[in-house]
Amino acid sequence: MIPPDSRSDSDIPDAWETRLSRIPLAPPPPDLRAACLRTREPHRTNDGGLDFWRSLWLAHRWAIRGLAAAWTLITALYLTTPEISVSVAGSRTVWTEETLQFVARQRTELMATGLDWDLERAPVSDDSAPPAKTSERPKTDPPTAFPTNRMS
Amino acid sequence: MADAPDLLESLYDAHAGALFAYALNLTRSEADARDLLQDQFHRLARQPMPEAVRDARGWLLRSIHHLAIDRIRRRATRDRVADQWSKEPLELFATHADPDETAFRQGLAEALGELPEDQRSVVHLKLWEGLTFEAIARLLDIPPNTAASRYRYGIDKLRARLRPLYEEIR
Repeated sequence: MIPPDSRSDSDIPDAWETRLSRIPLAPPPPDLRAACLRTREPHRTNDGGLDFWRSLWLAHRWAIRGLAAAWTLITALYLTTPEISVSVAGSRTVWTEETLQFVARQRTELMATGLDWDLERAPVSDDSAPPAKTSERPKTDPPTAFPTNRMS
Repeated sequence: MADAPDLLESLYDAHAGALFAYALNLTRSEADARDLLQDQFHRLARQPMPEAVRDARGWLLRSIHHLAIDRIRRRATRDRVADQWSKEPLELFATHADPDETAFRQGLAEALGELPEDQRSVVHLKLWEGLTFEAIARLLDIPPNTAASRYRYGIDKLRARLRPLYEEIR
């Protein structure tokens, strides 16, 4: 292939070139201006944080909605559940006579065991207290669950 | 110093037409040309044009030329239908009331698509930007003689391709 004669800038364009060069180019689409100039706004306002949240929302929209719904449900349950304080709950407790006697017996046994007393000689002030179960207790050196300061 | 947004708007108003047409002629795709122009101004917003630049049009054309070449190469790598794209009818030139003139302009746009992109870019810059070969050479990083040769190749191909149509409407 024979290379064409090279051109120089001083050459006058021929009619063909002039004809072509006079054909006007199409302008860019009208909406492109706004699109091009809108691209600068995030940088001008430096709202990178807003961009982060926007992209997070777009990427995980349904997960965020699910979390919000769960949190709303938890908060609603928390707010609608009635609270009962310990003092109120105590005042509402009904102690029967049998329960009181049982507690008294347990207290007596516990005291006798802890202090290593002989239940046969121990004063029983409460008439309702049950008889001591001496047969079940060892004769010597009763077991104690608690260390005492007394020297035996 | 001018306000940056105002400067960007003035740059757009002064050069967007030329940049868009050049990108459209190179990529042969309006969507790509739109993307490139937006990318160009996105970059300008992040990093303004150096103050030392005297020829803003040349600097912007050079910048969008590199963007377009990158886009063309990536597109050619992604799929091998660049030839098909190059034959897409493009609204490269302004419309005209005369149907013959409109047909000629459409034929010219198609003929430009048949040129290799290195010749197409030189022909475009010479004919519709009025750049000298020296300026084209600086813009494209090629020797001036290479720019002149590519132009001559391209213009002769266009002449041969469009001669029947040109003679008909002459």
